[in-house]
Amino acid sequence: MKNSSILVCISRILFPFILLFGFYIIINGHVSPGGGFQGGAILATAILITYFIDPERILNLKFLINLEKSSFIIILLIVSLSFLTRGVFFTNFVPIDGEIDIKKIFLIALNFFIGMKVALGLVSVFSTFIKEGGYRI
Amino acid sequence: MNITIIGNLLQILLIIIALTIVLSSDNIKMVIFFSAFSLITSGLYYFNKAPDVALAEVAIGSAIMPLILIISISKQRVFMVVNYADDDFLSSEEGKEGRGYEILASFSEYYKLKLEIHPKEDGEPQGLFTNRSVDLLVEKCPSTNKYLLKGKKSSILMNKLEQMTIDKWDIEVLKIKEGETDD
Repeated sequence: MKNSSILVCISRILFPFILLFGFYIIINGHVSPGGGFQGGAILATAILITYFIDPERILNLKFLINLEKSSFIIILLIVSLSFLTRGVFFTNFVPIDGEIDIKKIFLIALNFFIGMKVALGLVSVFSTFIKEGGYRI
Repeated sequence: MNITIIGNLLQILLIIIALTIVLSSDNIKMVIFFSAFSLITSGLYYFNKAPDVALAEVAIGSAIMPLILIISISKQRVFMVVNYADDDFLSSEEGKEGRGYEILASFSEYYKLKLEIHPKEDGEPQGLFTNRSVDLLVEKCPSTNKYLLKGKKSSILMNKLEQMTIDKWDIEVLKIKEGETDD
C-alpha cells in the first residue's frame, strides 16, 4: 500500500521546520521552557516523519546506537569535570563567582548531549519496532 | 478570568473526548482521538503554568504514541500460521488447495487479515519478539489422525475459528494459555 500524496507532501514541508524547532528548544533550554528531553523528543518525531516520506528507508542502526552510548559517556565526562575544578562531582565546573555567560556553557552542553541521547534512543527503539517482522505501510 | 473560562471549556472537551475514546469501536479513529486528547491536555498544562510539561506532552502524546499505535495496528493485519503437518492439508497450490487452507483462507478473509503460512523448517524467526507473534500452530495427531489447530487462549479470533470448524469431525481447535508454548 502506498501513502497518500497529501501526507507525503505535508511531511516534506514540515520536516525541516520540526528539526529547527527541536534544535531551538534544545539550545534555548536554559532560558526558556523545554530542554534536552523535550527537544530530543521533537527531534525524534522529525526523523521518524521520514518514514512517511520513504517507507523503504533503512537507517544504520548499529551506528546510531553507538552514537547514543558515546553521548552518554560524554555526559558523564562533562559532569565529572567539576571534580577537577571544585572537588565535587555533578555540579558546574566553573567556580561559583564566575561570569554568568561562562557558567551557562555547562547547561548548554549538557542539554545538547541529553537531547542527542534522547533523540537517538527513541529513533533506534522505533526503527527496531518498525523493522521487526517486515512492516509495510 | 478569561483563562479560567477557556480552561473549563477545555476540561469539558477533555471529558467528551475521553468518553469517545472508550466508546469508539474503530481503531484508527481511536488513535486520532487519542492524539487530540493529548493536544488538549498539553493546552491545559500550559494554562496551569507548566509549559515544560506541555512541551513533553505534545511531543510524546500527540506524535510518538499514535505512531506506535498505528504501527501495531497495521502489524495485526497478518495472521501467521506455522505448519507442522507433513501432508497436503495446508498446501496452497493453485487448483488443489488443501481443506485446511480453504478454511483458514475464508477465516482470514472474514477478518480482512493477510494469511501467511510458514513451514516448520523455516529457520530462526527474525526480529526481536517474532517468536511471540505466531497466531496458530497446525499439527497432526499421530494416534487419532486428527488435525490440531493450536492458538492462544487470550485471542478472540480463536472462538470464531472454533465455530467455523465445529462440523468437521477431524479438526480440533485447542486453546493454550499464554506462555505455555515457545513458538
